[in-house]
Amino acid sequence: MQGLGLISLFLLVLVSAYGAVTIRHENRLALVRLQGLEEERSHLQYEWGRLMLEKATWSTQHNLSEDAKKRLNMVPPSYDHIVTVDRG
Amino acid sequence: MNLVSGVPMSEFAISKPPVWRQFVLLGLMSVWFGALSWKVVLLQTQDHDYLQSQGDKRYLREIRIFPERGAIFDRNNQVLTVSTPVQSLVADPRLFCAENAYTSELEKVLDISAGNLEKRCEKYAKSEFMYVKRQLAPVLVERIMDMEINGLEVRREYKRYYPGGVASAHLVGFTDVDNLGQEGLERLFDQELTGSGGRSRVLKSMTGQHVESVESIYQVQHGKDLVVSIDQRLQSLASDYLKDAITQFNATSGSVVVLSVPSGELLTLVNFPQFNPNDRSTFKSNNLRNRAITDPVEPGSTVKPFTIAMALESEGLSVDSKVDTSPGRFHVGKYAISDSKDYGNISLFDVVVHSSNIGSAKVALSMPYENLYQTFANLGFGEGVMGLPDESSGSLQKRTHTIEHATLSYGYGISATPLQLARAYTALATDGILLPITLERKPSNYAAEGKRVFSPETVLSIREMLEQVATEKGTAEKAQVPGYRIGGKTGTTHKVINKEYASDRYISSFVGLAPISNPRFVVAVVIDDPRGEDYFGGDVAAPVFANITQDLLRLYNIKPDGVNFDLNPISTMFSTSKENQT
Repeated sequence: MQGLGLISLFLLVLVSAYGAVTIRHENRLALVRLQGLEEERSHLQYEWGRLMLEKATWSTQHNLSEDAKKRLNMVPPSYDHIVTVDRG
Repeated sequence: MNLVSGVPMSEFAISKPPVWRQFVLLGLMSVWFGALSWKVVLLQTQDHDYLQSQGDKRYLREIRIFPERGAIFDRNNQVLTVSTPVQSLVADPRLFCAENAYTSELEKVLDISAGNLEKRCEKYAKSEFMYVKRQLAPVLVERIMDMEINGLEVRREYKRYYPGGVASAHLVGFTDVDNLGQEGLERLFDQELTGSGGRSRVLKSMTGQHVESVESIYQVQHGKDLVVSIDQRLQSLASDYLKDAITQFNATSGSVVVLSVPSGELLTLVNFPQFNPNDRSTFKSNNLRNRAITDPVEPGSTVKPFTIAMALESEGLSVDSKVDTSPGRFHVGKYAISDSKDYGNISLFDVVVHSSNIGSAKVALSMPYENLYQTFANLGFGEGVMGLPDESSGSLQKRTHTIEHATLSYGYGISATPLQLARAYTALATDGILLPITLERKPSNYAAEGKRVFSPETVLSIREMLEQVATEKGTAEKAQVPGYRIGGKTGTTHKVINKEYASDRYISSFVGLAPISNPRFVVAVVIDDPRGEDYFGGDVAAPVFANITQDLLRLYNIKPDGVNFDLNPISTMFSTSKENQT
C-alpha cells in the first residue's frame, strides 16, 4: 500500500516536472512572439508618425493657399461674389 | 570464434567472466553516482546563493521601457506635435572602447569628427554606458548594426516633430532632447503627455536577446494624446496677417488672441517675432517670448467701454447723459488730461465712439474710486488667465493719488496681457458674463459658466457704441468686415521707455466682437512700436482684426448679419443653369 503511494507520488512529480518544463518553453516562445509584435508595433508607430507628419506638411494652411493661388489660380471670393442661401 | 561454424552454445558459457567483475563495476558506478549526487547536494545547499547570484549577474537584466510621449491635436484633429521613434546608438565603453572594437569607418558613417569617439571613450572609461549618437534614422542604424561592433547597442528613443510649425510655436512650446516639456502646452501638460516608464526584469541569452521575462517591476504607462481648443488653420492665417502688418508698419512685435464665445475656448494665440520649433537655431530669446501671455502692456482706450459700462450700471446715468469735454484739456491737480481735439459737450455714447480721455476721466471721477477698481478687478485684470507657463497676471494696483483714478478710466496705470484684454471683452460678448478661458476643446453647444460683471441691458448699449466705433464716425472704420456687423474699440498708448512715456513711441491695439448682433468671437490685436507714419490703433491694428475676422467668420460658417446684406433668393443664383437644363 505504501509502495503504491510512493509510486503515484513519483509519477506526479514526473508529470509536474514535465509540465513545468513545457510551460517554461511555451513562455519563451510567447515572449519571442511578444517581442516580434512589439517590434511590429514600433514599426507601425513609426510609420503612423511619418504619415501624420506627411499629412500635416501637405495640409499646412500656407502650402494650401500657395498652391491654390499659384497652381490653380484661385482667389478668395470678393464680397460681391458671395451668395448666401437661407436654409429657412 | 565463428558462429557459422556450428560451435555449441556451451562453449560460450565457459568464457563467462567471473562474478566479482560485476560487483566491482557496480561498486564503481555507485561511487561515481554517489559522488555526483553529493556534488549536486553541495551545489544546491552550500554554494547555492553564490552560484545563483553569479548566474543572475550574467543573464538577468533589468531593462527600462520608455513611455511614448502623447501627441497634441488641434480642435479639428490636425496634429500639432507628434513623436516618432528614432534610434540612438549606445555603448558599453568597457567593450566598445576595447581595442579595435570601433573603427574610423563608424565615425565616417555617423558623420562625427575623427577622434571624437576616442575622446569620449576616455571620458566614460569607467562607466558602463555612453551615448554614441542620438536620434538616428532606422535605416542608418541597421547599416551600422551590420558592422557587428562589440558593445554597441540600439536604444529606441523618440524625436518630437512640430507640424504646427512657426504659427503655433509659442503656444505649443517644445521639449528638450530628453523629451521633457520646456515651454507652452508641452510644459503645461508635461505629466499627461509623458506618461511613466516601465521596468522589468528579463533573462538574456548570450546573444543579448530577451529569453524570458522574469517579472514586471512597473508597467509602462504611455503618455496620453491631447486635443486642445486651438484652431491651427486660424493660427496660420492670423500669423500671416500679423506678420504682414508688422512689416508694413515697421513695428517690432505683436500678438493676436481669438476667443470663442460663449464656450470660452482659446482658438488662436499668435505672436511675432516667431521661432521654428523644428529648427533649434531659431531659438533666440526674443523669438521665444509668448508675448500674448508674458508681456503686459497698458491697455489704453480699449478699456473705456468698461468705464462707461460701470457708469451705466449706476443710477441716474444713461447713454444720453452728457459730459463736457471742452476745451479738450482737463486738469487733475498738477496733471493735464487731453483729447486729440475738443469734442464739446458729448453723450456717454460719444465718449466711447470718439474715445475721449476727458469724458472717461470725468465720468470715473464722478463716482467712488472703489467702483472703478472693483469693475476692473471683476473683469479679471491683475489676475492670471489659465496658468500657461510664464503667464503674467498684469497689474491692477490701488491708487495713491486722484490722477490715478482718472488715468485708470482710460487704461493707463494698469497693465494687461493681450490674453487678459481679450478675456475682459468676453463680458461684452456675452450678456455681461466674464468667461473662464479654457484650452480644452468643448462640444459645439457648450456655454461656459462665468461671473456676471454687467447687466444685459448695459452690454447691449455698449455693443451699440462699439459698432459705431467701427464706422466713419468712430476711430476704427478699417475694422469693418464686409457682410457682417462688427464692433470694437481701438487703443493707442504711449510706450514706457526708461520709466517715462515716450511722446513718439506707441502701442496700437484693437479688440473687437464679431458678429456684433450675437457675438461668437472676441479678437484682440496688439501691435508694439509701429515706427511708420501710421500708429493709431484704428490704422494699424484694426485692419488686422478685419482680415482675421473675415476668414474666421467664413471658416466657422457664421451667417452674415450685415444690414445691407441681402439674402439672394436661390432662384436668381441658379436661374441660368435651370434654363440650360430645360
